[in-house]
Amino acid sequence: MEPDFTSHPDDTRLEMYSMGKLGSDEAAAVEEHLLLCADCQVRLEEAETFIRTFRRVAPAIETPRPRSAGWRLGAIAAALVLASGLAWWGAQRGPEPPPVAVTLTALRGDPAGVAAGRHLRLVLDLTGLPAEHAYAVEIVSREGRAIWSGTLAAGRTEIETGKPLAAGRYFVRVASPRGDPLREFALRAE
Amino acid sequence: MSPGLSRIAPEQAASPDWAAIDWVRLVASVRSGEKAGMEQLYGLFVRGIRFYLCRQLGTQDVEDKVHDTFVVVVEAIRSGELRDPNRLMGFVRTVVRRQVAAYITEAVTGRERLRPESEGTLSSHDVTPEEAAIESQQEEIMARILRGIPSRDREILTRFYLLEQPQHQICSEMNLTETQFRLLKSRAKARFGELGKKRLASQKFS
Repeated sequence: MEPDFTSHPDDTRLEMYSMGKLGSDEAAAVEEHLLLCADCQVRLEEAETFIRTFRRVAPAIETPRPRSAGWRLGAIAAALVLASGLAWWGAQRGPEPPPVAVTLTALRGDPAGVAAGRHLRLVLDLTGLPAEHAYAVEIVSREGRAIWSGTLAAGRTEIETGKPLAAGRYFVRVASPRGDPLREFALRAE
Repeated sequence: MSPGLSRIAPEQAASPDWAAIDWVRLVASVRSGEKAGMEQLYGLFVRGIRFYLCRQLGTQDVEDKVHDTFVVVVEAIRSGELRDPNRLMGFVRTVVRRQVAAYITEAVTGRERLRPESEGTLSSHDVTPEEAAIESQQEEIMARILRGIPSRDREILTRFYLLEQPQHQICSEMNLTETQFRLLKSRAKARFGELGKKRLASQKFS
């Protein structure tokens, strides 16, 4: 059966073609289509830019340990979500320690504790704040120096920092989209 | 100029109207040397031939290579190498791939003959400063996107793009439907494209 070159390959098929994962007949059909279809030529170039950039950047970003056997990446394991309260539990041990999460419910004066040098998933107490808003979240040092900032999507109460904290005292600040401060939590990394 | 072409035919629009192309008539027209047939053939294929050659060989002297490849296609059609006009697409693909192989062989044997100190026709694939700046911006955007998505989503993308695991394996092990898998990829790519365009737009006006 001759390959059907008139069908536009979907995104996954174009990506697999780019990565050399298609069988010879399928690859032939894609190439024949690309000879005539400028739209799909553009789509392929965009897909390849994405894949090339992803491959350069992703290894440096934390990735959770895959559930299947045979994972051999040197990436750090993903964050774990902790139960509510001030306690945290040790995450599963492996070649790379996974990040820990900490639930922030207390205001200044009663810091939540977290292990230093670990990536964090902040579980924020936003009781009383409108759920339909996104909020700015910032971690500052005891001296007020900005350490990390991010945006908490509307309806969410958890955010990953993607950045380990050195030992010390910090404050986690939540602000409105306009920048008005709304909450502040104390955090201690040990 | 290609034989039979007295002017450059316009290139085909973004996506051809497949149903409207009469391959049998087109091939017959090219075989008989009709100008209209040559122009239609050129308009249909020149962009795709250029696209393919650029991907395989780079952009150096690409217009000459496109022209030469088109001439080879026409001559092959006129000499009767194409048996079934409805297989014109596959035929053109085969000719283009043969041309690429020939260019690569020529480049390799030419390189072997060159003395180290002499200049040659080897194309440079070094990244220009502008390209390096664009790549750096793309990496920043990608890092921002990857840090902003849940770790599970990052794992799914890593399995597909970095580990090259097949879709069915990822869906099975991560308990995803095919639709969920496709949506996740498409959201990440759309965000990447969107942030890239915003960055470009802000640079144009700064």
